[in-house]
Amino acid sequence: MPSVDRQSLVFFIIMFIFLTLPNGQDQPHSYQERQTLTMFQKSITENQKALANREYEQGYGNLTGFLLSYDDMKSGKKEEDWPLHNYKETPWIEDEKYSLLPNVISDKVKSFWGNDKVDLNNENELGYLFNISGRLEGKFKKNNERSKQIEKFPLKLPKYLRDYFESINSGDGIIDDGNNDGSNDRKVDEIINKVGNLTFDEGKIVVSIKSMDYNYKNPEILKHIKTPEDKVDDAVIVELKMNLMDESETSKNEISTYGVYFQDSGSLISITNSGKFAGHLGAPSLTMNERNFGVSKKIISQYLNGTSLEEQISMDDMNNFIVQSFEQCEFINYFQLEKTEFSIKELKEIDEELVNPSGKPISKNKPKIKINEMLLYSPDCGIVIEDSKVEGEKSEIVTIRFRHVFMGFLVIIVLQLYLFLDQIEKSKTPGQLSNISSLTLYILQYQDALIALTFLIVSTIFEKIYLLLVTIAIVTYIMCGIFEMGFLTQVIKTQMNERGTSWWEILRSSTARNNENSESSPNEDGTPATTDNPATPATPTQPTPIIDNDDANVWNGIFAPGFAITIISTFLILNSSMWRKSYRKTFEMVGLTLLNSYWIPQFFRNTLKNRKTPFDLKFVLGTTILRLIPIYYVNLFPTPFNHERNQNFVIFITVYVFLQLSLLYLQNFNPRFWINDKWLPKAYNYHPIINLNDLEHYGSDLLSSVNIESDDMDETVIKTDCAICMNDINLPIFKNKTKKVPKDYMVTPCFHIFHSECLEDWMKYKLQCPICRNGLPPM
Amino acid sequence: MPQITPIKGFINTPVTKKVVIFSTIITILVSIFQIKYLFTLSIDPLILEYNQFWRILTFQLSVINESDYLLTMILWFHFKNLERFYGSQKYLSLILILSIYNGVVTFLIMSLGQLLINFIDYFILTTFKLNGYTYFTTILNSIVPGPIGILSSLYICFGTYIPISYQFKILLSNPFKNNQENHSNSKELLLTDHFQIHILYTLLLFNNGFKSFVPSLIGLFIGKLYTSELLPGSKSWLLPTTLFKIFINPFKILNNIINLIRRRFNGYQSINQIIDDEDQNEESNEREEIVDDMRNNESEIRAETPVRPLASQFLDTFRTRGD
Repeated sequence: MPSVDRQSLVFFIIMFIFLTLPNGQDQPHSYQERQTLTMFQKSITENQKALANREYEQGYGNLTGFLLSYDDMKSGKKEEDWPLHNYKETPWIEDEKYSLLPNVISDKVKSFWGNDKVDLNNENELGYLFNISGRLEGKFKKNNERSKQIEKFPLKLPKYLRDYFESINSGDGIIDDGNNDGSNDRKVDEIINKVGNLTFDEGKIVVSIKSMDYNYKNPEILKHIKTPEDKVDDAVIVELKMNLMDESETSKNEISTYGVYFQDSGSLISITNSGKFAGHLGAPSLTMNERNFGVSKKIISQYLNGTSLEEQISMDDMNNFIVQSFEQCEFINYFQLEKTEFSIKELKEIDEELVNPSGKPISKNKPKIKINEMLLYSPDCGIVIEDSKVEGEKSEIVTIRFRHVFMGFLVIIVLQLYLFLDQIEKSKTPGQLSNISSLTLYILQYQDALIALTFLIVSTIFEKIYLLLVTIAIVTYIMCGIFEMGFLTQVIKTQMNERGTSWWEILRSSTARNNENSESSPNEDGTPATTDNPATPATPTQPTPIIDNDDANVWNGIFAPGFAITIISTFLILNSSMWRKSYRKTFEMVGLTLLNSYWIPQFFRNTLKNRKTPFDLKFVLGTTILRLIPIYYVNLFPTPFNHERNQNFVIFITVYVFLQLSLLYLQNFNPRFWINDKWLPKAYNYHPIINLNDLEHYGSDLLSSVNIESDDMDETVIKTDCAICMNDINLPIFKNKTKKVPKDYMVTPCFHIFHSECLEDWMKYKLQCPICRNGLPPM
Repeated sequence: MPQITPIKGFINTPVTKKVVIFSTIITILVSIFQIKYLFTLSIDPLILEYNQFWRILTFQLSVINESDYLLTMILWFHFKNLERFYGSQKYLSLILILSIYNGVVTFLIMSLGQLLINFIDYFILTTFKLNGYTYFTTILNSIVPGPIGILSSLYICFGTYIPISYQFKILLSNPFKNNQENHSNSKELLLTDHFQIHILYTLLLFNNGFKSFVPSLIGLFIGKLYTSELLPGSKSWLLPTTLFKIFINPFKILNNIINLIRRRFNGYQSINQIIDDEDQNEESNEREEIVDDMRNNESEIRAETPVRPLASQFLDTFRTRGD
């Protein structure tokens, strides 16, 4: 069966994609690669070891990117001549003569960064936040004046990496073979499209911080702590990702950095790391004073020893390092947090309660992460950003808000499930099922499938509320995959057999029908089919017999394409969150408008069937409102989703949906109120007037029982059996045309005669002729 | 599937059915919404420091681990015999009364017990002139949440009121070996049809160590008091019928209310139907009242029966008369 094949095909394709995804790491292939990798690994571990033994007065040591001081660079000294200074006689100090930072920058940093210290042992003092994991947003402005004062600091890859890079690139043919070192350098330097090389002066900055726990609480680092002095309880390692974008979000610059957060002074330094700039190892020397240096040296070397082991550094890491050094500007960032209005004790309690809730009463307004001042300095791109403020909620608080939102969402889903079950319970007869538009159900089901799949995917990312998300996914899946699917299968099965007016006929009938009618009527004048049903002279015969209309086939036919479309659109939706603002907004509005058009097909279906809406009022209203609530919430209220508010769209969608509802409501009075009767083919007439001439259609039994004696009379009565109740039917036969319409018997298109009551009762259950099983047009 | 209880499924035991459903829903929601911490009870710091006295009411509502859930559910399922014995309304009232008594007594014993242990410690230290007394939390500080006390009390009721329907012996020695000699009693195990409940209850008793031991013992004590009719108010109090109906069938009540409102707005209705509805309600109310009266009378008659052993004569002086 083709449908089953398609279904399994989808599964195979997905399986194939999963199986062929590259797994594991790239292995070194050539001698040169292996040699470079060994050298790279060695240099990293050596530098790590050197960091552990470094003192503040000794400067940076032999670190990539830190060999020259700002002064050295300006005076044109070369890296090859390192070491240039002898720190034994004159200790290293934070000055452009020895330091990477120009004095303009370091003076500015010193003016705001880490100056207001608190005593962490004094619990009643107001303190800085301890855990600063969260997402912060703000506006930034480039300080072009200051960046004019400083020179760009060209950073170069170490020789062995550059050689390696050239060798692979020349092999690929990207760079011409004839290029020598000099031109290569120029080429490398000329890349302006570097990430972080901002072409706009102001824009939006999003900072997401992931703060690690104290070193003695981290199982990976714990084994590197041997003495009590190795414990650090006033500073933590942070992972900081910042995204600098312009207002329209066309250019996004995502830069990931590592750094140290000093909890006693609320100061945070973070730095990039790449093949040309060993930022992580250099960071301790950039912390402005010896005490900070000591603390950050300790935790950074512990962290690096715990996480990046020599044998774990792979080809991929090295390649990334190299690629990053070409594609990204290096950044040294200083952030200063605002002091909270909470004492140190309260802050600790709040942190504890947020992570492990025990019912402890904590203050309602939780502290926000506020960065008061910051300085982002890129030595190689010569960019300075300062005096910007960003703020945001702690990630635990965001998680709690998400949980509340999703709890509400779960309630909505459960209510919708109830409404569906109620509706399914109420519409069981074919008569009702044939009036339901399958497209309406398709759209509703598609919405639910999207929700189920999205939540399933998101649950793997959001592990803190995993259970809640999975519950939503499962409940939604049960609703759409089992109940709605079953309902839709029933509807489609019922409508498979049906023959009646179709859209095509409506469209055609407005022009072609009249011609057809005028041609056909003289020929077949007198037959019951044509006198009352001129539009479909040929079709009242049989619908093409459907051989396998069992549930499984219908189900497969819906499931396979539905599943594929849902997967594709889920990924499209998830992907769209990364698009630029205007695209994203348009996509969202168009998508939501289409998804909320679910009553329109039902409206047309009602018109087609000339029936009022088969759905319950409760279902129609409930579904509409339940499906509007999330749109209202996201567009009107401050949500944890970082979604722009958009009142106009809310108004539009409300009007749009209620317009559909009002159309459905008007159909209660006349389902075809908006359409001219003349455009439509008439429904099959079950109460035709039987003429003597037509009797041949009804078979020999009936014909033989005609009483010829009453020949002279205008009207004869024939008795025949009703196959349902086995009682007699009195059939009046007219010789001439009359206006009198008999109502007590019904004639099917296949010319079988039943009592009106009997057949109507039967038609509630099945639209098939009880005698010959041909399809029956609905009444 | 073999039937594990004499009553098949939840036939005519609506209270048990609802209790099982509600406990399951609450437990699942507690787990999904990650609000387990709202159902724990500990004296220090939750009560002493934060004054969260509402925990005395909530801690019996939900269990917070899977094995507890399983054991309590199976026990509730077995105790549906008690619902048949008491009648649904009385059974629900009994559960409510037991939950109130258990909550309060557990709380009192936990707090007073902890105080007492601390006091004893202080007393010993001062009498021996030792320094260094500091307040400490004891094993009575926290208990496991869940309806463990209620189930313990019901366990006593079960043992007292539900008759044993059969007994069976498990021979631990070969019966054909020494056919002539009498079987010694030590080599056979006499079990009744209650044995599974004993096993399940014992598991529940020890499931959380001391944390489940304390509420279980208190529950057993209260159950004993109840069966010897020493628990004030427990014999006579009945939950109001409306509340009982809301508990048994909340949706029906909701539907009735909606219909009532709809009737108000929809204009006319057939008179017969209303009268029928009201009649039925009144009749059933009356019938229940009659049954209650009869029950009270019976208990009075039973109290007047002359044969009373000495112990019960003593106890009768403390017994409360249900009126």
